[in-house]
Amino acid sequence: MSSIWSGIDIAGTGAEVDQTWIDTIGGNVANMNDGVTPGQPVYQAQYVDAGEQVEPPGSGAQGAGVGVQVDAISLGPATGQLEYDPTNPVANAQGDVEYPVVDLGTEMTDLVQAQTSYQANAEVMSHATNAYEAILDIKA
Amino acid sequence: MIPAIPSIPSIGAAESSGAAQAAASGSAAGSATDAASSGSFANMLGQAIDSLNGATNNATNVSLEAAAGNASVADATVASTEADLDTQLASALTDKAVTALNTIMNMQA
Repeated sequence: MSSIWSGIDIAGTGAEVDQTWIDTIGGNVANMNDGVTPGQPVYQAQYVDAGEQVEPPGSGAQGAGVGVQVDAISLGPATGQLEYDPTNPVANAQGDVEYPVVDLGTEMTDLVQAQTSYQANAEVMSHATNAYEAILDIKA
Repeated sequence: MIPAIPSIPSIGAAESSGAAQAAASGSAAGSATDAASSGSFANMLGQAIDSLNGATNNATNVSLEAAAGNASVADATVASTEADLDTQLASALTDKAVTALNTIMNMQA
C-alpha cells in the first residue's frame, strides 16, 4: 500500500473509510423498520470507529501519518424500542413490536457528512495528482 | 597543456553502458543482466519498464476486482491514477536518460 505517490494513497484510505461509513448508514436506514417480537434479537445499528494509520517508527517515515482506517464497527443498543401494534403478525401477547433504535434524522446528517468527506478525499486525490503531474512536466 | 577533464559520474555510467552494449553485441542479451549490477543505462531503463509493467498490471487487476464487486471504486481510482503517474514518470526518466545519452553521442571531435 505504499508507493511513491503517497498523497494519493492517503486520500484513498480516507475514501475507503467514508465508503464503509456510507455503507453502514445505508444498512441502518434499510433495517430501521425490521420489527421483531419483543425478546427476539433485534437489528443493532452499526457505527464506524475510524482511527489514524501510522507508519511504524523506524521505517524511515518518522511516524508520519499514512492515512485512516476502520478500527472497528460499533453496535447500537441490543434492545429496541417497543411500539404498540397488535395487528402486526410478530406482535407479542401485549400487542407490542420491537423496532431497532435507529434515528433517521441522525442517519441523514451522518450521510451528508460522509458524502462531504468522500468528496473532500476525492478532491485531495485530484489535487495530489495535479501536483505530481506538475513535477513530471518539468522539461529539460 | 590543457588539463585533463575530470570524469562526471553520470557520463561515466553512460560510457560503461556503451562498453556493456559493445560487449553484449557478441553474446546477445546474456550480458545485459551482467550490466544490470553496475547501474547502467540499460539497467535503469529495464527497471523503469519493469515497475511500469507492475503498476499497470496492478491497475488492471484492481479494476477487474472493482468490476466484479470485490474492490472499492476508490481502490480502482487510486490504482489507475498511480499507474498513469508511473507511466509518466518512466517516460520522463527515459526521455531524460536518452537525451543525456544523445548529447554524449553527438559530441564532435
